[in-house]
Amino acid sequence: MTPQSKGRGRVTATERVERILAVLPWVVQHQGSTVDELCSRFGMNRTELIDDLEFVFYNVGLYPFTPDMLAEVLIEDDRVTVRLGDYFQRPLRLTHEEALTLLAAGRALEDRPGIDPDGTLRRAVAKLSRALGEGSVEAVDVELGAADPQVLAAVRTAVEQSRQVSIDYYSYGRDEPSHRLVEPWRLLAREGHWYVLAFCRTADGERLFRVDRIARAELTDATFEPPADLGDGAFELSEGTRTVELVGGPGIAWVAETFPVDEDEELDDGRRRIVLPATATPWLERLLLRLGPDVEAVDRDSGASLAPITAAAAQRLLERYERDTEPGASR
Amino acid sequence: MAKLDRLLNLIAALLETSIPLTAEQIRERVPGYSESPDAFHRAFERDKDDLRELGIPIDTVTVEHFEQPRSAYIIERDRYELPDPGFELEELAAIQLAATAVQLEGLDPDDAADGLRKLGGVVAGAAPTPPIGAVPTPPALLELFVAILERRRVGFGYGGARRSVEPHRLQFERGRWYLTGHDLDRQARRSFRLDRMEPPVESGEQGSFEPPEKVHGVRLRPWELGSGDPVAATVLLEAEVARTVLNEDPGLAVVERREDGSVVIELAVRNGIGLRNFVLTLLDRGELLGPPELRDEFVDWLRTLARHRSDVSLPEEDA
Repeated sequence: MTPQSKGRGRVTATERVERILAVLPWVVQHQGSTVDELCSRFGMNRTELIDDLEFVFYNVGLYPFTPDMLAEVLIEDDRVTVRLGDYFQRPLRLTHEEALTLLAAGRALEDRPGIDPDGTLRRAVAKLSRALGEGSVEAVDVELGAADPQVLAAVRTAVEQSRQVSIDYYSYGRDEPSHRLVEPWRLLAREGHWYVLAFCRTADGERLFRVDRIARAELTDATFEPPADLGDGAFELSEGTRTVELVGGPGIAWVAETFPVDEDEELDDGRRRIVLPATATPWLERLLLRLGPDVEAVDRDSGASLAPITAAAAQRLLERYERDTEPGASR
Repeated sequence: MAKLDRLLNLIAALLETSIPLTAEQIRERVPGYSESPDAFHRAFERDKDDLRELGIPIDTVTVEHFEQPRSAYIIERDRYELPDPGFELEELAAIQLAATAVQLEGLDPDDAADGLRKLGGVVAGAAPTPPIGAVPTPPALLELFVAILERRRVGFGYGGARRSVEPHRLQFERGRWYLTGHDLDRQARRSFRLDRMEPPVESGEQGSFEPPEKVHGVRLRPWELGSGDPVAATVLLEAEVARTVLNEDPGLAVVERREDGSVVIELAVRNGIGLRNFVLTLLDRGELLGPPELRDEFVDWLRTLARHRSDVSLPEEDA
């Protein structure tokens, strides 16, 4: 099924076949359903549904198409009864695309506290995978992000009920803990992490928080008015404050695979040049410390070498090791 | 709608028959085909393609027909019919909610709706949910998924070489898809990143291997990536990072919890650089405690970087 075959508006013959093959078995197994019920269940309007049923009534059957070999459809007092031969009694199997989509979505959210608290989805996924074939539940595993179950549940509840939450947040980029009062608008999973988009009352602005860095989340009774339109969910996850240019051996390729980069090219001498936005200083320090002394790093705007930042960070970390006569002693 | 009429009756005929039907028999039994042999064959071929596109398993078998072999067609009921999953109403609703909340980018959004319809439609009253998760769909994902379900071996380029693998599991972890399976060249379990696979990904014969009893997933601990005997290293995590690190990998061995909220974890290290990188990401909130050799190596790395400052010509420094 290519997206092209699914034009909106005019329904093609194959799309109608698909619909009828899905709806008919359900009607057969639930004799006497009302037209309204069927419409809302299968997302069709009255005309479409009745057209499909009448079509089956007038046209579908088996050779030699004597009356006993024809489908029988009866709509009486708005209730639908269907008699068919021994075909179309069960829906068609899912296509691989359909199976993958539903299984991946189910696996991503099953057993998530606050999302699947009583395991209904997990049971559904287990039943679905049995219907798809043995082993299919093991075939796909989707981890949208790591997070403390209680924190995730609290944030989810806060979004649903538009309640303010008080959080302890560790800002990894700036390497500092903070206490904030936030109004969570939306929970989302991107690039392997859960985020909550919120209005931070403490900072008086819109912020994106990573859920696994929320140490504690406490629901308050205060509610808020969520914004009417949150857009389509395409949020900037980080905003660059400076642009960094790295030049080093082929070994620095992981940087381009790990972070969003502006440029990534192989130079004539076989070295690699990567340009990327850097967020807060601690984030940059981590990157530079990992890259080591053989990689040249400069601030692209000023042209200044970033070696002093690396050196200062290394010196700062060293103090801890050089001071400790006994490793791990509390400071 | 002559075509709709024809397609439905064609499916019914091929489902109902107990012996495969030749094209001529089909033309007799399914109304709506042209009298002209050429036009009939063109229409019939198109119909077969359309139905197969919908996922309808039309088998082609060769039968002897007046001593002349002919193609004949049948739909095996077992492969056509979806076994009843036996959903409770709220279970169907849960699947429906999940499908609206998590979307596979790059697949047709109608796939979820089409699948749900086959499972019994939507349950009225289940509130629509704004999407919360978007999972990327690399080009090879669907092919590998099918290969796992149908037990087909797969071959693909990886790191400049062709690999041959019995695929066991696809896993989306930290923003990336991984395939874990049995690497036939190395005779060992290996994980591969889908975004590093070089096309084409080729699938072999159906049912060509037995699935393992226990399906393992990918492990993402950079310090474990290596061979040889592991060395036990201990790392102190201050409270601020301890939570994040342990959330991300709840399987880490905690050997000490201190009153101030910090913890000491023990890691089985086979890859010193992986360990160094992990400890560096902790910045001031972690410390590599031991063993002394690994700690010394780490300190040497920091010393080199700290000294490096004087080796370069510096621009005017900010005060």
